[in-house]
Amino acid sequence: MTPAVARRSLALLMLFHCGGALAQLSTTASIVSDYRARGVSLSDGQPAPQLTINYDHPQGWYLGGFASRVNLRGVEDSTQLVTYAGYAHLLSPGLSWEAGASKSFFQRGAKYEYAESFIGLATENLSGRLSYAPHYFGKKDGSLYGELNGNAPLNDSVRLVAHLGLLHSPSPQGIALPTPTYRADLRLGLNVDIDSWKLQLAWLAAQKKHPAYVYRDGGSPQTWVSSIGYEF
Amino acid sequence: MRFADLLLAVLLACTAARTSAQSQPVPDAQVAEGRQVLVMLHLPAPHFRPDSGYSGAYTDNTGHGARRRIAAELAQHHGLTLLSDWPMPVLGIDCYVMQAPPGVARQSVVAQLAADPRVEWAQPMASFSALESGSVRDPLYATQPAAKFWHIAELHAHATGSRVQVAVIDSGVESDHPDLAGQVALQENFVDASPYAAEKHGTAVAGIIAAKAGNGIGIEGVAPGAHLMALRACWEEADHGTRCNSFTLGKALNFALLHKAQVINMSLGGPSDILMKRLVDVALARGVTVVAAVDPQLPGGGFPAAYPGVIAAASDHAQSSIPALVVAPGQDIPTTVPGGRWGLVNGTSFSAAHVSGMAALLAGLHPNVPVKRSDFFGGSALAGGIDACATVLHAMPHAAGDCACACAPVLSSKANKTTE
Repeated sequence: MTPAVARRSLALLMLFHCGGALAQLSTTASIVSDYRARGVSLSDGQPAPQLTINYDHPQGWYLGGFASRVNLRGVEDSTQLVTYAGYAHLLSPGLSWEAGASKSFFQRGAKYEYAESFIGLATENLSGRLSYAPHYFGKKDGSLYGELNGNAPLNDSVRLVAHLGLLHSPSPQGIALPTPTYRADLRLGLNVDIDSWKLQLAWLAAQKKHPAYVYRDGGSPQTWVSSIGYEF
Repeated sequence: MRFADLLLAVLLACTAARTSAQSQPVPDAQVAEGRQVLVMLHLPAPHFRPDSGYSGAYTDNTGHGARRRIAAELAQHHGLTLLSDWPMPVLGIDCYVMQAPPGVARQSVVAQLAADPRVEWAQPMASFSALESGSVRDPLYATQPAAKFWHIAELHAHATGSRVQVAVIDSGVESDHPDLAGQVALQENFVDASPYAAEKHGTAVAGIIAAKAGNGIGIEGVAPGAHLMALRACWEEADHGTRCNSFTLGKALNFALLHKAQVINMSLGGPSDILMKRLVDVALARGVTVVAAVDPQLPGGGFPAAYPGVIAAASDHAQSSIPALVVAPGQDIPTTVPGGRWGLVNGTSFSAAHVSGMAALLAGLHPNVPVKRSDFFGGSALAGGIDACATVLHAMPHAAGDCACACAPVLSSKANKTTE
């Protein structure tokens, strides 16, 4: 890990620990069989360890950090750190809105770093979010991502989860010919929570990416992924 | 074996282990209820997280570890034992059950906890009882008051409560009873101390509301087209009494709200309770009809019957000075009982079941209009209380006259004379 990423991680951790007695600070360590973001693999189809630290303030402010092993085109065996912060507020029982921003750093490959802002609405079983990144993975023009997430509990510990996303993105750099600028991704999964353990098995599908994108993503656009995590 | 296959195997094995663990009774959970308190912690609104498994909805209990840790600290600080917890997203809280040691004044523990800034509120665990009197008689020997005074067979030509979701928050319902088979759409157990079981009170209430009609056996429910949610929040005790508490009832109410119940029946009563009040407030704000049985022994009819907005049901054979009651049959009611049998029951619990059935009929006619107290016509002067025909016809004025003669209400005095 480079000194810059390490410094940012340390600063984030210190900020969390200054939260006071009212803070709700949770940490989740997990291993995913394939780190897929918006339908494409950021780990080249390989398993990746991940760590999330999340802080919630009673007034609705939140911030957190997420780290994962990544394997991008030209940046192999690297680490991604996503820091995020925002505000989520209950409008009425079961309905809330949120607004926030995130910044993604890479241990190697600073050219892929990007910031993103988002707004969203959530009900008891559905949520929707719209995100905008001026330079998504270093692209010259802005990218917009809309997503819908569903959540259907089957019993106390098992839930069906579904996700549908649509990314509107400019053509990759260096491509002369017009390329599709929309890409949809779908995730259907089963989540099991057993005490502090979190297990997920999901089927993912995404429209084929253009070969010039930064992701290596050697695998199929349709795949099964699984994860196991522990929250403490 | 691929990683995904391996995880699936682990996932299924763990689910089986969890199911098995849940079926183990906790013997002293009920005994110590008088020493238990409920501690509510803030449940943050859902928000963005980059974790791949996070679905971003209220029912996703991510962050539970942080709240569990705070609850453990609170329990340790106040000398309490942490027993259980349940997220209640409709209120934005995570509810923890803690138990004080013997000899410690529970009210002072509640006051100390409530003063902690990490706690949204704290309250004693309240006890509730089903409102029935006497025991089930057998065999079935009388006709249904709802048939005699309400003419439900004629009403069913106009309304059956078709597809109305009715939550029966009670003891366990015998879902495979011949008169209830197919009527129970959802079944859940919220009593940690014992697994789901078919019990007398819940089965009796369910039968009055939605027993099958026209199947040639047993009784006819007031709303046979309704879909029941059998939510076991109460349990039968050795003395055949049926008891519940704030936590089990709160969990069941939370579930009913999450699963879009249109009518909630609570044939029970007890002391005023903050958690239940807040959940009932949410239900009423969402247009859900909440029906509760009046407890004649408690001031104002007890809680939740006396709570504003709740439709309070009393028996047509009981004297009551409580205003705005809805009176319905509550004595010698034939209904379903466990073991595939039928028996007679008594009490305001079963008046509430009749009112919930009638509310389901009205909700079936106008699914998007909340059923209110003012929608029920009749009163204690009529046998059976509610003037069922007027109540249903008022909800469907285009059918006026269809059953005006057949459904003529019977005065209580005349009904009594006939019986004598």
